[in-house]
This record gives sequence, C-alpha cells and structure tokens, in this order.
Amino acid sequence: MAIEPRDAEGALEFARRDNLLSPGLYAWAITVLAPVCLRGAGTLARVAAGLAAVSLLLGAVFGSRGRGRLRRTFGLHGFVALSVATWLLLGRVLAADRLEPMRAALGAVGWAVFAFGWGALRKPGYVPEEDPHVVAGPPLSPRASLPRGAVPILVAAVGSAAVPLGLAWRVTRQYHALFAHAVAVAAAIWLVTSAAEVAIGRGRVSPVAPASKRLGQAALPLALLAVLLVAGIVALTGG
Amino acid sequence: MGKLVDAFSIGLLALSAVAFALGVRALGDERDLLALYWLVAGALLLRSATDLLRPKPDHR
Repeated sequence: MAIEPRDAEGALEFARRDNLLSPGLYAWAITVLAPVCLRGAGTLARVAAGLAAVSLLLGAVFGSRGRGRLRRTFGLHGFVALSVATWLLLGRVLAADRLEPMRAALGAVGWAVFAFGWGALRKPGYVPEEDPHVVAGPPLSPRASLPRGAVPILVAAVGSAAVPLGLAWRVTRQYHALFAHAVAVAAAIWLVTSAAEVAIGRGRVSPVAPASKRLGQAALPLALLAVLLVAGIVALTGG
Repeated sequence: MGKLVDAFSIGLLALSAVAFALGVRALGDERDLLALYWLVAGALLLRSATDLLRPKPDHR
C-alpha cells in the first residue's frame, strides 16, 4: 500500500514535534520541575519553570512549515534560557551537596537527547542520490584501508575512557569531586583522540620514519616518564 | 623494529588508560598525592604513545 505524500508529511511533522517535545519535557521534569517542587523554592523560580514549559510547548506548536524561527526562539532559546533562569533563581535549593547523582545523571541524558532532537529528519521516500545537486559518477572509494587492529584499539579506548568517568562518581569531597569529573572528562576525550591517532597512524608512519627517529620524537615524554617512575619507586621503597 | 615501536605505542596507550583510572580512583580514596602521580603518569604515557607515531617535519 502506497503512502500518501500528505500522510508522509504529517508523519514527518509529528516526528519532528515529538523529537522536540518528549526529550524536552523529560529534561524539564527531572532538572527543572523536580527542584522547584522542593521546599524553599521561590515563587519567581516556580514562575520561570512554568514559563520554560510553556515556551517548549509553543516551540512544538510552531513546528509547522515556514515557522522555523519561531520554533527555535521558543523551543530552544526561550526554553533553555528560562530553565537556566530557574536554576539561578533556585539558589541554595540547587546546591551541589543537595543534588542526587542519579537524578543529575538522568537529567544530563535528557538534555543530551533534547539536543539530538533538534537534528534534521530525512523526508520519507527521499533518496539522496536523486538530489538535483548530487555529483554524478561512480562511488568514491577510500584512498587507503584502515590498518589491521584499528577498530579493536578504538573500541578498547572508548571502553577504557568510560572507566575514569565512572570512578569520578566515587569522589565524595565537594571540590575534589568537581576536579575528578573535570579530569575524567578530559582524560576520556584525550584517550579516545589519541587512540584514534594510534589506531590509524601506525600504517601511515611506519614506512616513512625509521623506528629510531620515532623513538627520538617521544624522547622527552619518555624521559619524564622514567623520572616519574624512579620517583615513584623511591617513594615506595623509602616510605 | 617498526612493528615493535607500534606495539610499544599501543602498550603505552593501554597503560595511560590504567594510569588515569588509578588517578581518579586515588582521588576517591582521598590520596591526593598518589592521584596527582597517576594523572601525570597517564598524561606522559599518552603523550609518548602519540609522539611515537606522529610524523614531524625535519628542520634543516
């Protein structure tokens, strides 16, 4: 059974609105509504929280064709700004020592899904190759294939990057916890970036640079590492 | 020899992941000096792993 173009457009519009509304309402309920329901939350904060929800709903209402700017103004800028205003107005009610880690984590996921919801959807039945601007010709083949073991290295690095992120939740001291999360995020990003370099760089560099030159390139960090290792051994045996 | 350096680089990368994990765990155990030690070790290990592979232009 063929899908009518009008039905397809309607389904696309529904999906577009739902992509904005569902994650937005979820993030709002967990990170905005829940704290304003706590004792001690001010009236102004509650009003701002209500306006944030109204702004999100308006953004979804203006989701129809040709009203993209209104949709973005209410659904994104207005909603986010009013949510931030609510958090600022909450003051001590939203202090770090009063946050529940699980709720905070779920809220962060909600906001991430909300951000993804702003992505574009492909129209039903749309074939990219049939676009009038498409460059005709045979499919472009990659100039080189990935070196052996590139994917396992990257997968292992992504898994390893998640470990410090999880361990950071064990830190209970207030400022140290913040530092631990910052370090864990930086380490995770650096690990994945470096692993990608290592994974694809092996095949590319080895035929060009001799091994001695490559070792020479890493001489400084390796020397510092050796100093650190000796210091660690001295501290371990001395103390 | 080149493959050996490749394997060494991958080993350093794996060790850096372990060092970062130990550093953050030490922070949780309130052992700040040890945490700093492991975090610096992780940074140096990671830097060494990529420096072994990154081609650098010759300065003539």
